[in-house]
Amino acid sequence: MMEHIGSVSGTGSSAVMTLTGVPDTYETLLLKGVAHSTNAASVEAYMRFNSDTDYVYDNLRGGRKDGATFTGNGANTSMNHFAYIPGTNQTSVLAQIEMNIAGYRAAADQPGVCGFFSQSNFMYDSSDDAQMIWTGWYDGSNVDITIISFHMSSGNWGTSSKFDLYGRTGP
Amino acid sequence: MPLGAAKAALLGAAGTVAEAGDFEWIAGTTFDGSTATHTFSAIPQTYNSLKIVFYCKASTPAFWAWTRINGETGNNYEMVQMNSVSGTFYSGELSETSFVLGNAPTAGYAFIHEFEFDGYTNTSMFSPMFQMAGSLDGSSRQFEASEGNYQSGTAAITSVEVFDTSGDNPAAGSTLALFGYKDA
Repeated sequence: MMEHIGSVSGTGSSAVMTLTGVPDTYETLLLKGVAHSTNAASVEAYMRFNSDTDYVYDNLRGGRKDGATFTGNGANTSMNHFAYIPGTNQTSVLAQIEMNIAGYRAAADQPGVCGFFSQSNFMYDSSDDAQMIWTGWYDGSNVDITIISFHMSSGNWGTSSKFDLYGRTGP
Repeated sequence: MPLGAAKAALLGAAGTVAEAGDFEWIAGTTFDGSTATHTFSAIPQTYNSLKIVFYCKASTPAFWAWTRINGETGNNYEMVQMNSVSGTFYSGELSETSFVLGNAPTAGYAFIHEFEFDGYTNTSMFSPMFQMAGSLDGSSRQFEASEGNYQSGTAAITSVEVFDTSGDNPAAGSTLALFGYKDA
């Protein structure tokens, strides 16, 4: 079954949204939501676990961006890139994100590092858009992840931004 | 912001909260073979996100599924389409009069389709969507994914119509269901 854990919303004046107190009682997590930036141009969105700023995040991404096929990756970065977010130049456009997070409990409890796979989407027009599949992982301290923070490369999270976090219970 | 710790404290370990699901069925239908369309109307505005799940078996010749929002027939459905038909991959941008979903290319075969709306209650921005479908038959294996948004004003989504453009009906036993993700 799925259980709603909590949500965060953009205020228009902060570049960081943070979910805290994530319980260690779920098998996997599901993050769903929409987002936009107060920056004029579209921006990159990142996430960080347990406020860990070490260079222990990796990701792979692919799909389409700005009207053409696109692939990319990030290795040994200080937070994980997970979406492209529209800005005010992309009038009235929201990005959509759906992310599955696995192995978020300590290694002693769930083997392996924490990883995710996700989809992200924003569409302004046929030459200004981003639709991608992502996967990534976190090589940091293998303890329970209780804090997930969301960051952007420029601007602040717009007031229609909202992420909901759900947990999947086991049998 | 405090999250589910209080809930966990109240309800205990994961096994004991399994019945308190926050992902729930809203409405659905089972096709009888005589209709080509179904509309979810008066969709409650109390969920965080919506999911449509469509299991469709084609009769003759095949079923192509499309989705229309709030009865809007204008050319306002912007999307990127990615598909693979019999091993050939395609991707590209489309502007259509509805969102293209999946198809069952051969009579008697089926496809499974999922459609996700997040931010569907927002009234100041366009509503984005994801969809993914897969079909399988002996000659035309196909998957279909598209992502985009509905750019006809910023009204909340209150109705979703699933329909066919090929003159076919979903075979009897095909099912279409609308689910919602909600707060606790």
